[in-house]
Amino acid sequence: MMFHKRLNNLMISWKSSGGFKQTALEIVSRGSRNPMVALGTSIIIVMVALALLAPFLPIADPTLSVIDVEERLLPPSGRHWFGTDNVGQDVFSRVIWGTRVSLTVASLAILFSLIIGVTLGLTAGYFGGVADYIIAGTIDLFWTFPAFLLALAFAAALGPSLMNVILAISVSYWAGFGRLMRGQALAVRERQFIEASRALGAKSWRIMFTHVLPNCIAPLTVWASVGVADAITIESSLSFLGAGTPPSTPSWGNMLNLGMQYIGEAWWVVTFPGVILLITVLGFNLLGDGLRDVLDPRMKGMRR
Amino acid sequence: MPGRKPIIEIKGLRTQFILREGTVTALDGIDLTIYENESLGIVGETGCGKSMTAFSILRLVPSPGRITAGSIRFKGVELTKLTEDEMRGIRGRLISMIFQDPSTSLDPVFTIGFQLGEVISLHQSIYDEQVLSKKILETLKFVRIAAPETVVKQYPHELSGGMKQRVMIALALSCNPSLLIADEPTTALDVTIQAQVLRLLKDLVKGVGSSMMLITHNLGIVAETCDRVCIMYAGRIVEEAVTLDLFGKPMHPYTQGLLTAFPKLGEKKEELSVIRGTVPNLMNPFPGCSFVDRCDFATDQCRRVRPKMAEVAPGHLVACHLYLIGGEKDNA
Amino acid sequence: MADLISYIVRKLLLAIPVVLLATFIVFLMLHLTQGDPALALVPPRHTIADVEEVREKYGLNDPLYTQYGLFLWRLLHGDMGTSVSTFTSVSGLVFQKLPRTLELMAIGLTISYSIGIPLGILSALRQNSVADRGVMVFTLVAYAMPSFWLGILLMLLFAVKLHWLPLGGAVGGFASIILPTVTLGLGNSALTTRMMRSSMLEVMRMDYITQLRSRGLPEREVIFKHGLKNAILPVITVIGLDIGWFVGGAVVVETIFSWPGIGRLVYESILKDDFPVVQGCILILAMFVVAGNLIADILYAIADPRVRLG
Repeated sequence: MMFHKRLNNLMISWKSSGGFKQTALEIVSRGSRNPMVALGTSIIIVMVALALLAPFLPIADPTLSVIDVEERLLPPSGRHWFGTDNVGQDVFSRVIWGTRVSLTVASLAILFSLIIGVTLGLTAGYFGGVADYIIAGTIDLFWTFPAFLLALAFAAALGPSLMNVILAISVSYWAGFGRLMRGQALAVRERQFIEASRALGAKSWRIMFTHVLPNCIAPLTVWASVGVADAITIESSLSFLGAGTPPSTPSWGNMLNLGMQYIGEAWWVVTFPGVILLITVLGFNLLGDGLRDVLDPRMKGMRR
Repeated sequence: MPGRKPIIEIKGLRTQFILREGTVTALDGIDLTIYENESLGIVGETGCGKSMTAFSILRLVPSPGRITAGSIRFKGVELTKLTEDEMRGIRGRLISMIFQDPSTSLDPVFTIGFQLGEVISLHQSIYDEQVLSKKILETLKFVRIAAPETVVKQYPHELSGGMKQRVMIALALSCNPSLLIADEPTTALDVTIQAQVLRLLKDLVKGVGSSMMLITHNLGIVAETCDRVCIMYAGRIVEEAVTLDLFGKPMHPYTQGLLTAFPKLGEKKEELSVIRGTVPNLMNPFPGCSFVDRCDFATDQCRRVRPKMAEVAPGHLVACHLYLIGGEKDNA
Repeated sequence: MADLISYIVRKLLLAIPVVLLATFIVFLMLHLTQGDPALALVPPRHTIADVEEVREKYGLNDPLYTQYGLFLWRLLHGDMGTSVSTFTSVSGLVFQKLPRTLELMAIGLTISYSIGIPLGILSALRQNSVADRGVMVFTLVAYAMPSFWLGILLMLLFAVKLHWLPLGGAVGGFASIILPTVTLGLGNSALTTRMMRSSMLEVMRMDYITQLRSRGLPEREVIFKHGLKNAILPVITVIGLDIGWFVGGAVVVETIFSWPGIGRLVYESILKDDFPVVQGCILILAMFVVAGNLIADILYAIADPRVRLG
């Protein structure tokens, strides 16, 4: 009962401060007019669709338990659009199944990063003092450490598995979100209407949610987009090195790893997974960049 | 003014910005003359085109802006027809400009001495190190900077606002230009420093024998420093007079509004008087007088016909139908 | 000058916690592994006695902080443990391979900057022109392309199909260094170009640029003497980030091209489950990054006098 009431009040204050819905709508409307955002989103939608529909598509089985000698290393043809690999598995099918791995790992990893980063960043920026000092210091330390190296260290230690990769990337990537949120929280804290709110007796958490968060939706979306692109790259690099997804699961990184050995005889095994990888990463980058362009203030007004 | 040679003669100057959304007319047919040895003040609100006039003279209008009509003659030379190279010979040497915010007007990664040296050696063709250093120190002393030897080695961020502005003045006057354009030179400074810098400016300009075009929104500064004043509104000049005359007998309703809005010492007021309304949108061409929506005396003619500048008293020009005889046909 | 020195000292001091964090993470790695940490430190063929010996030697029965202390102590003496596959000292291995990775990074950085800076400037000066849009497309694609795939593609094209360049290894002399460094350099050039472009665009909008023009300075000087010097500053700060990128990239590229550097060492050691070597490599790579950031900070302070006070 109390919870309902609180939630209601929260929604009301959200709406009055411009809030979540308004910012989201604004982003969508301005974003759809930007060609980069449009292209990026289309690519992402296609990839997500492929990932979700993979089990239902009329494509070959991506994994074979025994080597099919007849079908080994066949070049692209009508039957096998992308050819086959050294085990006889259809590359096209494996590439499509690979989307599931990459997208799942990347989105989960970024989601976790976001949660960690946002929470810590908000706490640091808003409450200040000792908490800020410690958290900000930690953020800086993790920020200077290259994400890939950190992820490699964790993944190598933990062993190849999907969950480990997700964890490794989350631990390496959260600092970016933390920084962002901390900056925003600090900026908002200075503003007068927060003082006014406090003077009226509003609680800190409430202020954070109703004022700080909605303003951050925009940069967070940009960061998350680019983050997913990075995460996909990191995951495939880790898989390529053998420290990421286990060899049994079809992932682009794995495929490229295996394909390396046959680069002389079968160029298709290394080319097609790479192309799809490139397009997917490009899609998320386009979205992120396009959104950043949309949300940045327009060309500075002309001089007097 | 009889017997005085004009330094700058601007006729029908139009500067526009061609944007995707439309064309913004920053300057809509300006007529202006500055004579030798005089200080002309240009007064108006933000966005009225004061700075754009300055940029147009120096042909530094930022793209996508362009001078689309009119003529600017400097000592008889038509500036709008010069090549970029020729223009460069004039900038900094014959006409120079001081910007509003001294903290953003100096290159932060070069020392003061270096930046001064650049300009001096460029325009005075001095390449000898020793001679150049001496000249630099001289210039700094000229703007009454106390310890020039230290300042020469310092970077802009190490100086105070007032000192930076003096350096700007030094840069602008180092080559004895015929015209100095000062765009709100004291707006970004502390009130206590403003008077100092203004006095310095006034003295030096008179000393060097240059003319000055002082752009400001502050009538007090104009009263102190300028011989003549132009009032600008929405890209047009609405009134022009000798300073004393303007303050004594303001004619254009806008000028009157400005003067009443400006609180004067010793005056008792119940509330601040305000000119109602806001500046018009410069994107839509307007056939009549641009002040019509804010003017208490507006007539139908004001809405239809653009008033031309006319000399209503000796040396005092106004662009307002209140003072024009009869209803002149639209000539715009 | 004095402010520069104090700035450098301050930065050095600040680098220490980062170094410590790196050592801690590497230390922690051992304890994140599945099962008994001692098993990670013994060769595949071992006896129970060997395991016990390792336990004693590395103090694995002691509390964590003692172990960490021991770890740091040994590090300070240059001891990073013993490889479980080759039975040689890890530090020996690592420092032997270090120069080869340094080679790659140095040349790669040079390539990246040689492409990125001019391209970025060109793009900024001709904003929204055909050339600019072309450059933007290039950076987008190059940035999205994972470095290992670029490497594979280049290898496919130049080594396999055209037979112009060797497949890998460091034997072929000059030719063999081309593919790995070009892969790294091209990949990073996207970042450099973007950075340079946006920085240049911002600088050219500044008041002091217009001021300089109003003083009659020739446009060439305004752009290349004043504009460039200001615009290059953010690019210098990015050197630190670049080195981080290169370190990650080196691991992958060395693997593809069988380049005998630290990156390849990491890869092989992961394959062989040679844990001490993996630890050592990651630690050294982390040090690289810290050093790179430091150098970038110092360079920046030399170039921009405003920073020395901060």
